[in-house]
Amino acid sequence: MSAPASQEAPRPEVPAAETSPETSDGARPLTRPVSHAPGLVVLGAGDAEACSDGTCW
Amino acid sequence: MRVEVWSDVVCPWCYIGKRRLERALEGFEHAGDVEVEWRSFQLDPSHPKGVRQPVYKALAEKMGGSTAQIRAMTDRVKALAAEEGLEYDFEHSISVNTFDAHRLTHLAKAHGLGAETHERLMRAQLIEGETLDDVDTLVRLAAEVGVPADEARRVLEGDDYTRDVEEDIREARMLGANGVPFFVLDRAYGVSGAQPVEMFLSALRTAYEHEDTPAR
Repeated sequence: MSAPASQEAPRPEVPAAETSPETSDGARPLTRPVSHAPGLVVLGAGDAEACSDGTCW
Repeated sequence: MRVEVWSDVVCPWCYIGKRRLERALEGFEHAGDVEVEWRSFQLDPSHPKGVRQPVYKALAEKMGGSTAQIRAMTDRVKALAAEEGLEYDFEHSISVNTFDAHRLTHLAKAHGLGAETHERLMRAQLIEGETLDDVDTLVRLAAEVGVPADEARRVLEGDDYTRDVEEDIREARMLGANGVPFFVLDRAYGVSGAQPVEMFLSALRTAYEHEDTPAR
């Protein structure tokens, strides 16, 4: 459960990021290319609200 | 299933993301199998310890512009927080270094009260205008959720759990988290930011469906 994240490819059954199935509103892509999280399949739209570099706005 | 969430107590999107994850869990048919663990992250580790500044003033200095412009800039996050039942009060929020608040949360975690303490500290910072680098304040808030006050004070007056906080932050960087909130499901799926509830629900179902699939 708590094993370190692998640097390798995501689980084989996981849809490739580029397939981009959509959420129920049909607007936001469910997945996006894994660009910054090695070993993780990053789900969700890339424009979600977050704080980074000390800035939230 | 394990959901780890990297978050800072001063992060307005983290509290919104927390509420949205909670709402998603309410609609998740296997919620009873989910363990949520809150991990430490510092939005601004360079904030000098002991320096306290009103949030609007700190933002104005950091980003440039007047406090009036900063107020306008924060309107959107306040509105979205209100939709989650969170009445942010940035007028009275104080910017501090949050490292000690995170050390305290690790003590609370040792008592099985990590989630309760993180919730209490977020509310204190973003809604109640508490000063989260003040030892007496932190001891009081932790005690409210059941953390022994004498232990909390001993930890805050020493340096216990420093390595735990540093390790959390290092791990976040290792996983590629550039910002928070950052959600990791079973160390296989990442969700960045305060995504919509339906996105969290979809992620939970995806992770649950693939839970027994060994990573390559």
